[in-house]
Parts: sequence; structure tokens; C-alpha cells
Amino acid sequence: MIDETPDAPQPEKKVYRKTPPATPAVQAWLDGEQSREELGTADEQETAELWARINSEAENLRKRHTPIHVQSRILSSLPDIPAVKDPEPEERQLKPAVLAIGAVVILAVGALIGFMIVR
Amino acid sequence: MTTAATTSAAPQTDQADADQEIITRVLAGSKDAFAILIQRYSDPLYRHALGMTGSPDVAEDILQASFIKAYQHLGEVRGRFDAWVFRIVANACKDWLKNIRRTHVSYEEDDQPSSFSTPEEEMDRNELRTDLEYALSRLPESLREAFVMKHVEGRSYEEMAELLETTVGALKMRVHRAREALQALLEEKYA
Repeated sequence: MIDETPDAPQPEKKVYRKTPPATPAVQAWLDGEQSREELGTADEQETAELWARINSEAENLRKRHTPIHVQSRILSSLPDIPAVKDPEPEERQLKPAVLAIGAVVILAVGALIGFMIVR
Repeated sequence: MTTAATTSAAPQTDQADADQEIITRVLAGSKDAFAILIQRYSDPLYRHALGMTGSPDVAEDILQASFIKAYQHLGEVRGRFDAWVFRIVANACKDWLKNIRRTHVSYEEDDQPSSFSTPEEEMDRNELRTDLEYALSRLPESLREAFVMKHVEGRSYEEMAELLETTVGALKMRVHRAREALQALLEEKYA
């Protein structure tokens, strides 16, 4: 049976209130373009408080380092064949003979199309 | 006040020259010289992969595969090595996100020292971390990438624009939208 006497202690129920959205001023503060003191309204301060907590957690993540074993694992897994230098752009240029053949083909196709249009 | 990390052009040029010197050595047959590049860039790349995937194991695998790919194609580097290898890792993360349907992400194996003093604070911190991971995993790929680079990696918009080959304005928009989306996901819990 539920005790409905008014004096009975009620379990504390959390009431959530939405944090005000980040205004342009809050965004500017988060971008490092203005100081937190410049945030004028109570709502902005409330949003800034939430973001201070998020940033604090983000900074913890920023302190993380690559586990020591990973670097040695990468080194040991590099292929034995050394990296090959990419051919110089000059070497990759088309040879004159290939260019000449290409030009002849284009001219022939153009002439054929022209001939068909005239007919 | 949150400040954006800015890097001047001169040290970047010095770094690029130093990298190029190492690349020349590797291409000449010194495999060991590649270890310098791994040591120099593995941390920021690991953090990016971790932020994008939410899994240390996956981040390690992506890092390994990316450095092997970088080694095999080292001769194709044009411009800055760090930007080039970053794009390899970033693309690998995107491929992973596209291919893997995940139900849970976790930053397990957290071996970093805690800055929280009481068990309650520690519990709050773990809860926030879990919820942040979850919220991040719900963001579209491009917003997630922008948020991770800005907030987790602490990069400036200019640096992000250079690495992602886009404009500062477009990235600001993505970061702002990511913040709005994240806040909407977290607000009921942390209001």
C-alpha cells in the first residue's frame, strides 16, 4: 500500500532543465575569440559551464599518447622492400611519338565527323 | 578562455624540411629513419583515430596500417609529410566509420592519471566521458571530424583548413553545428 501521508519523505526526483543553446557569443568564446567574462546573460554562463565540463574531458583525451608497443609494432611490420621513389614528373610525360599518334587520331575522328555532317 | 593554438609559418617550414631530409634517407634505403617520422607524428594521429573511432584497438590498427601505407608510398609525398600522412589516417577513419556498424564505443584502457580527487568526481567524469563518446558517435562523420580536431586535438581553424583542404568558414560552421548537436544530445543529462 502506498503511503500518501504528506509528511512522509519523498524520494528526491531530479528535474532536468534544458541548457540554453550556444549563442554566437558562446560559440565565439569556445573559438577563443572572446573571454568567458564577456558572456552577458545567465543563460550564456550556464551554457558555458556545460562546455567547460565538456572541454575538460576533451583536454584529458588530448593528453593521451600512442601506447609504447604500437610504435615498435609498426616498425616491425614495415615491408622489407624499401619505399620506392616516385618517378619524376618529367619521366611521366608523354613521349612525342605518342602525342603525334594521338593528334592524328583526333584529326581523323574530327574529319570523319565533319564529313558525316556535310553529307 | 579557450585559445586556439596557432603555429607560425617558419617552424612549419623547418619541420617540413627536416621531414623531407628523413624521407630522402628512407628512400635511399634507410628503413630505420622512418622510425623518426613514426615517433614524431604518431601521437596526434593516434588521438585523431581514437577520437574518430572511439576505440583504442581500432585506433592502433588504423595507425599501423596508415604508417605502412605511408612507407610504401613515401616517394609520392608532395608538400608537407604531416599533412599527407594525416589525410591517410583521416581517410582510414572515414572508411572504418562507413564500414563498421557499431553498437558501442569505448575509450577503455584509460591509463592516464586522474585529476579528480574524490570517487564521486571520478564517477561523474567517467559518466561524462561515456556520454561524450556516445554523443560523438551519433554525429555525422564530417561534424565529428571537425569537433575532434578542434576540441580533442586542439587545432586552430587555419591548421584544420590546411589539413582538410577546405575553408576556415566552412570548418567553423561544422564545429558550431557539431557543438549544437552534441549539446542537444548531452543537455538532458548535464543540464
